[in-house]
Amino acid sequence: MRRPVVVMVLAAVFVLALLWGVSYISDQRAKLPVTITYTNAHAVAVYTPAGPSAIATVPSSGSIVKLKSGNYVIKYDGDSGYANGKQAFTVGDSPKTVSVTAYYSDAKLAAMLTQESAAILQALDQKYARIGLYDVQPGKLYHFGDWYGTTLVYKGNDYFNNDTLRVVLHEENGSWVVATDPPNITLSKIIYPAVPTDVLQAVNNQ
Amino acid sequence: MNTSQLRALAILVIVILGGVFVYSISQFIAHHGQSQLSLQIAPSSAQVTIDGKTYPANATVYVTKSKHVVHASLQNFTDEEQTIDLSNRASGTVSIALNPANAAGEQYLSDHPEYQLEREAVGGTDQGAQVALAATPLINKLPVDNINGPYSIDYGQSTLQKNGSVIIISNSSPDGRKNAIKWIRQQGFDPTTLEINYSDFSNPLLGTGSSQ
Repeated sequence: MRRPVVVMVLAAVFVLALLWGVSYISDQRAKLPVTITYTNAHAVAVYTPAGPSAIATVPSSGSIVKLKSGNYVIKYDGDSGYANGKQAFTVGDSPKTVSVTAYYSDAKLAAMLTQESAAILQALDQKYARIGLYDVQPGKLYHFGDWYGTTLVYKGNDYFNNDTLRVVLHEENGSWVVATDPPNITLSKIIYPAVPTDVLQAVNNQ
Repeated sequence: MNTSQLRALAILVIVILGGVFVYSISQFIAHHGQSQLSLQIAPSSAQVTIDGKTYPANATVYVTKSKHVVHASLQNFTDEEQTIDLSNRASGTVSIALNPANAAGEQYLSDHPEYQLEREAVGGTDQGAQVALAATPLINKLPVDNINGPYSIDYGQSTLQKNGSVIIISNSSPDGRKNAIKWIRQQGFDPTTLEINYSDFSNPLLGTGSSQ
């Protein structure tokens, strides 16, 4: 190969490598530190919403990963007795902390429900004198068994208002309390900010 | 191509790539440790300062990674000031649409329709509606009437959220309300995130209408 061509190729490679380096450094500077804490979980990793492979692993709770602004999903495996899960989060313009909690597994919650269902039905009976107009569906416990959601299927003769209703109860100091009063066709996190959104969503999807 | 032509070509390529390299390095060094701040100010004839130093109204500038005060003013318009914290950010944008302070300002906008367009571009007109749309984007698709549903979906001012909207489902049967929720989901919205009022629904549990 002629010498000028070799020089030209080497120069081009050198310059491109430097440009890539500058671009890489700029890219790194655009990333923000995100602290990820988790409990009852392992194998925690960060994904893009559509990405099949992890873009960052979180070796221990409190680890910091550097991410660009955008939407991400944390996926995790629950420890024994806890459910696997995922949690979406958004990185904005500043560093942030994302906390992940693995809740009880479905099997554990189902077992707990058999113990709690009588107390839950009693709470609904005491709260609503007309609860007899509805069949209370079995429903589900959520999180650590301290949230309960179900649907109420109308069985009366008001055909203009025979909608299925939804209700969430919360266990407070050993007693079940209606957290979304009154039960309604859908439950909104705007109306009930104290109720976890994932619980409201699950009940709205029942 | 002979040897001298090849040599000339090689030198030319090296000079061009070298120039790109030097420019990239100089940009990197010049802006190292700085943040990019984009200004979107309308009307663009406004006087704009960042921390007291004058800049063009629609410039992109590099500033230190710290808090900065952007001030915009124009005769017959109300002064506006915004503070942006770039301490931990690589870039940020300040959008300011100055509002007329008097009849002369209104006249100025009438005489300069291009400035009115600028204000709309940075969200300066009907800002309440812009904020409401941002808070509840579903309202962009409303109202909707479906006689087969049957249902109507419209929106109103929320009493619970500042600048928020309440979605109102009316003219509906129980199946219509179910179909209305189905339609909302089909538009990509989660009913959980919406304040919905079922205006025709009288809750049998209570014997009264309800808002949700």
